[in-house]
Amino acid sequence: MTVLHAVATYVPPVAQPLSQVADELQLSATDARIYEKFYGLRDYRVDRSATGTDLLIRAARSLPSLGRSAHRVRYVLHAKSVPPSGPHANSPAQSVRADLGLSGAVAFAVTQHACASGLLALDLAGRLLAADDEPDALALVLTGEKAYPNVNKVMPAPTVTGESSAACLVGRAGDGDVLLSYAWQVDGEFRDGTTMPESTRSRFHQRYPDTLAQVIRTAVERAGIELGHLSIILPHNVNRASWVRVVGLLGLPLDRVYLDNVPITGHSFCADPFVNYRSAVDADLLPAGRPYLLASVGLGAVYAAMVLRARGFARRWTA
Amino acid sequence: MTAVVSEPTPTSRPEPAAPQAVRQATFPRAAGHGPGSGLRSLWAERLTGAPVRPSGDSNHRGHSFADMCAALLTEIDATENLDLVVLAHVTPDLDPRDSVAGALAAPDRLVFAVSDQGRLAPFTALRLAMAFPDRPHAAVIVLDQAAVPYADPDLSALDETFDHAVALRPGLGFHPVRQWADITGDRVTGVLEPALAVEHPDLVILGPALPPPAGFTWRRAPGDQLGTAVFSALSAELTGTESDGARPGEAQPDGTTVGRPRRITVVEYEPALRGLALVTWSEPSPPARHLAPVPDLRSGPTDRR
Repeated sequence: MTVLHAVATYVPPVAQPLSQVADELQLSATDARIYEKFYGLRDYRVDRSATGTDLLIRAARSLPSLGRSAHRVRYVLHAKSVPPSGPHANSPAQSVRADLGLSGAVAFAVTQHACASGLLALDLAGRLLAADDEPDALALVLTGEKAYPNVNKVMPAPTVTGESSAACLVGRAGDGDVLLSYAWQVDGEFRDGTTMPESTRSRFHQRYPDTLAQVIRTAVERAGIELGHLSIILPHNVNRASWVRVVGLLGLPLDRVYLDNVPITGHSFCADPFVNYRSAVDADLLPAGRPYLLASVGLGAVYAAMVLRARGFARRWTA
Repeated sequence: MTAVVSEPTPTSRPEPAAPQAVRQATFPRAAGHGPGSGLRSLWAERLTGAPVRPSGDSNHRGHSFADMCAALLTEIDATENLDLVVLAHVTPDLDPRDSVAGALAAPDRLVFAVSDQGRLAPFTALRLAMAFPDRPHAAVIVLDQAAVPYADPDLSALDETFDHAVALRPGLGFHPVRQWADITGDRVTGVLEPALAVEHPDLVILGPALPPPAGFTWRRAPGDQLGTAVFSALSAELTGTESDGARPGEAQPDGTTVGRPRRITVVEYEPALRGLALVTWSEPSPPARHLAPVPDLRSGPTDRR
């Protein structure tokens, strides 16, 4: 059994309206207005004073239980959208491990599912813990990376990428939420996510909602529940418009998807579902006993959905 | 099995009939290609300093992970369809914008990568692969390419002629995997030698930074590779590519093999991260024909200290 014990986040405190940063993001004034009116995007939220490691540490330090549980952490997984970009000894995963004093942990990065790597890492953490003979062991799953102007320029979807981050404490047992299922699909035709020709990009946009809806259905089926049982879908925050299409295909009301953070945080590498999770907990939207679903899509057409069952203990995590 | 690859399709020996625990391939960098356009701007904003040309490689050429993986998987898929592929690498891909998961996509095949752990990434990849008892047809592909746009003293001795890739099949004799964190250099011997005593290896393959263990036969891995170093040495040992005369490991009439170690422990140490890891490969025992078949067993848990 994989149990999500706690989730903490860091959302950069200063937001800049898209209209103010359009030049930096290489958006025209018209683009910026379309992003706001049609796609539901509003703020560009980055922390230029923070390194990639800082983003992760700030989220992890907000985990109220990490300090007393540090000696039980055996793995630190950094789920990354963008593969390594510098000397390995200075990687964020290793720096976080050292900074948090997790001396008994093995730290590494998980990639190739792009922004869906966070859900993959959660599943991998549970599998690693299950393979060990240590019932109290924990894994720390980290999401979040630096966003740069070039990133926003090459993203195929209309979105604004910011620098929110999240830290998840995962175990094998305990009172946290239980992972029921995980489904994924990779559409290899769109592997060149940032360099697709326009015709291919158009085909990706056409296929996207159907494929994501299908992956969500698969996760729900594997969880042994029905779509209507889900209390909420905690999505990626790429934009609002794409979710309108997806929930239409699923036959769910739009308010079943938590979209409140789309204008506030925009999209953040791998972190969106977990940032939304924290917000949903704070808003008391995860009733005990009800399943809910995390969903994300990564560049290169990696679709992922994960169903967990809330157990009502998440409110205790509030620092 | 060892192959030298000049293009994505490797030139290699004839396909063996049975799956191989280890396959190695080398790719001449001169036959590779440069990174895609636009990559420099991506690197420029991600690195502390401006991107630099890789030392000793004025042409900045190499092979992408997708191409190297495809070459190895072509050989493996000829005998078996993989349902899990875990990449392990130290340096980034030649073009990190390319999705290797997309390039290797196949129905119900899970592909992901482990990195940011230096030379120890392959060991974590093996552990992860073993944590999927529901995906028994797994491969770990260790990848080294040296065209990196940043200065890193750790990479100064890398092979300037070839990129390297090694495919490991976790289900074909690799067990256990052990990892230790926070092991300073002065503690390595004290941790390693008792661990080796438990493993009872015929041969120990050592990463470049490790001291020879007392009381064990050992061999040093090449110093001009990263993650692939110890596993290239394992491949050489299993295929006898560095032996003279008759090729060791050939099957005997009684089903056994002679002339090569049947239990090899591969050890690597990453000084920058103070991490130590080992994995033992054992030659599977030939089936005892007089015994009734036993039910399939789930992969056992990996050991950890």
